[in-house]
Amino acid sequence: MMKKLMLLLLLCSLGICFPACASSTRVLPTSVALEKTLVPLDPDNEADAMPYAQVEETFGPLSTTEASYKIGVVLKFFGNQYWQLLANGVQDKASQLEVNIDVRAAATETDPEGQRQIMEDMLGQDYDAFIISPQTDDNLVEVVREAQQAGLIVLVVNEIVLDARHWVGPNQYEIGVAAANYFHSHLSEQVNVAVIEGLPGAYAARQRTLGFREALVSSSVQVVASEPGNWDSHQALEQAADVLDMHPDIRGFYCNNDVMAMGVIEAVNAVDKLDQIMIIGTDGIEPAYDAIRAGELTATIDSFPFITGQIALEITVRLLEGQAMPRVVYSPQALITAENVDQPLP
Amino acid sequence: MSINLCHKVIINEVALYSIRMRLFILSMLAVLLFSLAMGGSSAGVAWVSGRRQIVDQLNSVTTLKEAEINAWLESLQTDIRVELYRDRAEERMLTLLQLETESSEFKNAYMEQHIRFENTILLRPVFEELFLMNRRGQIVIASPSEIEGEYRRSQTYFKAGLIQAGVHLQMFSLSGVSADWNTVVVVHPVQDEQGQVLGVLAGRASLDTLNQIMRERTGLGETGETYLVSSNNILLTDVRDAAYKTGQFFINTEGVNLAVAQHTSDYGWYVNYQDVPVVGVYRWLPRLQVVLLAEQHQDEAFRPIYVTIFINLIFMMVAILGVGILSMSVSRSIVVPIVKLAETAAQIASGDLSQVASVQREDEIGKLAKTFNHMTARLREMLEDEAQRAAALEQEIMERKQIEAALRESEDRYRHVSELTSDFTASVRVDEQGEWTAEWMTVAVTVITGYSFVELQTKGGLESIVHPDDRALVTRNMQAVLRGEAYVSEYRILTKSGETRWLRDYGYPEWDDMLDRVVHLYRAVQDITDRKQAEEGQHQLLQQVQAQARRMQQIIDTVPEGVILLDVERQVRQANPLGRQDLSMLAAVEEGEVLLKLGERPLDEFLTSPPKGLWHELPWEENVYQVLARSIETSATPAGWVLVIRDITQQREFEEHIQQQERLAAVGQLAAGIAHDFNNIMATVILYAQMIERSSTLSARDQRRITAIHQQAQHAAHLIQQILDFGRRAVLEMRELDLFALIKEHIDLLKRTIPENIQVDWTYDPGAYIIRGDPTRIRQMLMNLALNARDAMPKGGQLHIRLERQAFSSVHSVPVPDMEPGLWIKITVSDTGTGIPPDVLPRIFQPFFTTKEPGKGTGLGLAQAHGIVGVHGGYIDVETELGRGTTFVVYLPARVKTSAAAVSLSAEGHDLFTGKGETILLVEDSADTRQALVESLRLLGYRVLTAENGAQALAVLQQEAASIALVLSDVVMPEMGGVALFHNMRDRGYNMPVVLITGHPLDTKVKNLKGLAGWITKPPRLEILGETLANALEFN
Repeated sequence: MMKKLMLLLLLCSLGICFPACASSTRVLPTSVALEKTLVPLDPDNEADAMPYAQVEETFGPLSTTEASYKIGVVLKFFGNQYWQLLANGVQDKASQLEVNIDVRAAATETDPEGQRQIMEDMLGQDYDAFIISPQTDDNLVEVVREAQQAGLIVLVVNEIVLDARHWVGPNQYEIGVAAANYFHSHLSEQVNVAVIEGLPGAYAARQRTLGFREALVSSSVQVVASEPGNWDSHQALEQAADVLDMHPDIRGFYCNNDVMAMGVIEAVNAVDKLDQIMIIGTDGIEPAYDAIRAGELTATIDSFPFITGQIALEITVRLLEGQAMPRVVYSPQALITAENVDQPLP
Repeated sequence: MSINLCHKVIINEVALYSIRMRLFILSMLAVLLFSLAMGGSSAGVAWVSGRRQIVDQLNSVTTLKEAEINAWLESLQTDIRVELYRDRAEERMLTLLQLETESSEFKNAYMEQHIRFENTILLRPVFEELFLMNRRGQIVIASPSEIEGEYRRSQTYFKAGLIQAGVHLQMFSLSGVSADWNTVVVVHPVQDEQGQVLGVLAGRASLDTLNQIMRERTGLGETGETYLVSSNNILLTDVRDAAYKTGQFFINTEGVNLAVAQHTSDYGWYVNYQDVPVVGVYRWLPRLQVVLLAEQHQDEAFRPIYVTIFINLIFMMVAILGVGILSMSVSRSIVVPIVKLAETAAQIASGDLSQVASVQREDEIGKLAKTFNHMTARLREMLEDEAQRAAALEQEIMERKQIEAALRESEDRYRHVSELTSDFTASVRVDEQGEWTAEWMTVAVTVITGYSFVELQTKGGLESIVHPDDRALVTRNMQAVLRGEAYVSEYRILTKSGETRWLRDYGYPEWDDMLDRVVHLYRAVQDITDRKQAEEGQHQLLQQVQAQARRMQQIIDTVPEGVILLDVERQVRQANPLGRQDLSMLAAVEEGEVLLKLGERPLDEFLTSPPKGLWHELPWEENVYQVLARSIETSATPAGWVLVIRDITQQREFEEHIQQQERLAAVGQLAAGIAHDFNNIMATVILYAQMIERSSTLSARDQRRITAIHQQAQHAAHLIQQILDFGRRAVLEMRELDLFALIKEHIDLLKRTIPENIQVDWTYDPGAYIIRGDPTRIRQMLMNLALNARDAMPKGGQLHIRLERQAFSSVHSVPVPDMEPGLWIKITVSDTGTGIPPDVLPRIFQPFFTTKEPGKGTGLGLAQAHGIVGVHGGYIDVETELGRGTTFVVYLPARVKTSAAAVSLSAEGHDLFTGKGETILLVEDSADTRQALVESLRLLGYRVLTAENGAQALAVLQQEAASIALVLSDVVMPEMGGVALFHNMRDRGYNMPVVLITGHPLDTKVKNLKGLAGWITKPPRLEILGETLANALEFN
């Protein structure tokens, strides 16, 4: 109990000092001209933020609209179930609100240029707003600026574009913290753990890893390796195998997404240590749930992509209706383990 | 008059309310009602049956496509069954699934099955991948083999494949980097004899075939198309608009949503993915769990229906027209006689009494006409008397008109004569005050000026339209006339249409002696505009020619080479500025003078073709020129020459510089090529030298000599190392490295070795400084930069090293071009020395370039540093200011890893690790090196057996395996190299540790060799050799 209290205090103090640290070390691309009043987007540390649960309470329910809006949606990659589910969420809300949508994604999850091209092509058409999730911090900066200058609403999901005005997604930093907390409370004294990171340059990957590491700074659980798996299952498998080679005493892996966690499970199984090593993923895709049921994956931090998609569309329509939304709206997230795997939403 | 008006009104009323009109309107109404009823019902029938027909057509296309897809899926399943059961493949697959990978049965089965897979893909390219998964979903064997080892456990097709054969669409990817996730996979369980499933055989087929089936759009018109959409709404096959790419587009139409939600097949009218209204048929294909859609734009689909309705409308119009004409002709026979009578009455009323109403019938209308005719006859008789009187009067008027016509004809003749000439004459009366009054002008004045004589008189005579610029001239003419002088002058006038015309005016005054003044002026005026325009044209042409000549001169003047024009006498006629400069340099001759020689050589030499090439070469003083002469030939004999002279001194220097660079590159390549042999030689020298140094029986003088040999040999090895580093061919021992510790240690070293008048210090930001690198090379690079700084500060100064981390988030913010964004470690080495002159700066990283005295530097230091940074994936940059100092900045890619293994730097200069009499099998092909190593090993306390190559080594092992504790082998040997020896040993069950020793850059094959106890590079230092062997033995 005392230990948890200490950790909580530590996290609070980090939360207070972190925005200051971030602003002093971040290197802004020089070509990004920011509006005078708009600070670079950092959703996890944004003051003008609100959990989705409070949105209806504050702004009232959203009735269907008279205007027929057309919204362009540019996601990362349909090969990943996470983005399929998010697209389904957007679609569900769109049909409920009778809004037209056009949802597209890049050819792979590591194709920032392809994604930029898609968005640029869509800019020339008559969309009223865009919902986007950039593959890196940089790839959509120019097109987003162009859209915003043309007076279009651009809402960013999960990842960031520095001068974006609207954002929806889970608090990425807290996802990392949640995974760290689980390790801290379930692993005994003085153990080593490792991180398998997503694509370098992606906000979500960076923040999840940062949250995880900072939460463990003064813990007995020590992060001894942090390797990029680039959102790829097999690359994650190979990185995890290297880590296991180098640190046979490793007791836990935190993976920036579930697809990579699938690879880590196999690497751990190959050395026959599934019963000794905890693996935590992120996203909450179907194979992750199956793996938790099978006892191979310890946990995943589900950020409910379907619900995130619904929220993103709703907030975009509210913005189109002229409602003054907070800059950042957090979608729900929850730690899923064998205990709540069949009832993930509280 | 009032009677006439009444008539007209009556006739109009008859037209509007005529019997004919009423008959016409009635019959038209009847036809219209009938046509509407017919047309409406036929259009309705066309609409309903047309829509049915469109849906039927789309339905039949869909059925056809579904059948084709099913046939293809069947063929896939057949193919995978054939793959499993032919040529004892199943047996092999069971072997692959059951046996250890190390066993020879496994290896044989693997080899053979791999070839089978490859052949299948080659011969029947329906599959892009064939793979066999074990019960855990791991790929045991595959073609292409890159995917071996991957897990497919969470894919539906694997789970289903464990239960039964089938075809599945892959719904998601386990890789973020592959665009090929959207594919069809056919699976078949692999069972052992007891019927237990041990694995799944799978073939991944590309969607190309499905794409082809879908792209066949016969019978679908211009806009119709068929395509497939997965159950998660993702577009699977191509659509007409290429902007919608497969796998990247989420289709959210009514057709797809209904089919996915309810797994049904139906049709509907909805908007498609492009928001275009379509007629669509959607069909759920349960086998693949996808939606098949056939859609056609409503515009096109409904076109036949619209055409049918349009034709109906045309028929209706034609019917109405026909009935109209018929009804008109019937009414005509009744109404026309009445109308004609009315018209005759109207004509008579307007005065034409000759009209007679025709009487063709004996009915009421005929009687009316007869009475009417009688009345007109009476009226005609009364009017005839009056007409005779009027005729007499008319005769008189006629005669008078004839006289007037004769008079007019005479005037016309005179006018025509004067009109035939374009010039005109005029007469002016001059009164006592000298005022002019035009008396007459011939008519040509109008042709020329556009004004009639009268208009000109009103305006004030011809002078009033003189061009303002020529008024003064005319005024002078008028003054001359007053003096009684004749004049001829040319001036311009402005015609009535505003055009400017030139006139030539001849004036002849008439002097009256009695009155003693001019009384008349007679003028003849010619229009000379055409002549004036011709003169103007010539003038402009002349100006164009002059301008062109000036341009040509400018071009010649701006040519970046000397251009000189000589005439037949070799006299310089013309030269551009560079040409004049060249002339004064090469011949001290100016324009206009005769040119006899260029430099020391007679001019005539240059006027002929050179022995080779196009240009004559002329070295003169410190420069080199090229000269080209071309004769100017206007006829058979030359009319002169054009000389072109260019200064190629700088170009020559540049070419020499390039050649120098190429030579250096060749030296680097050559050096790298001989490095292996050279290192072998040095290995022998160094090892022997080290051994002798350790001998206790040596005299002090021999000790000094052997130390000198050792040092010089080390120096030679170091030189080769420098060249290899510069050429980026050095053997690297890459590992995770803490730069902080390395630099800290290096600073201590520098403080000890750098002269005391140079103050060495360093600063750093807190944080981790982990890179992946070779510590020896990094130390070398730092040492070279420090020595460079030392040499720049002969009078002392400050050497500062700084260590910091820098993150660059985008390509715009990186400090050096080509650098990738990311986390970098920045090492800054700055001095307060002399700085580097700007002309030297571009060459500092070139090998063998030195500003030091001969013998003081090899010129390899910075080139080596540059090479080392490059091979570590880093960048080096330099800033300098003369008299203020130089700063070298090195960027190295940072590693995020903070593992405990990150590199404690092994302390060097420790005692030798020695053996305990273990036996080592040494395999080395070079006799000298072998001998040197044998003695080194003995010195280290080992027993040694030798072999010249891998094959010999295996023979020795067969005899002595039990006693051999370790095998130390060269990598490159003529018969069986070190790597092959290693594999052979393991295959034959010899499990003693193996250490490889090599002078070649180690490729990944050696580095990644699993189970290798260690490796060392040539030439090996005795300590390293001892340490590596001791570690390998202890580990075992």
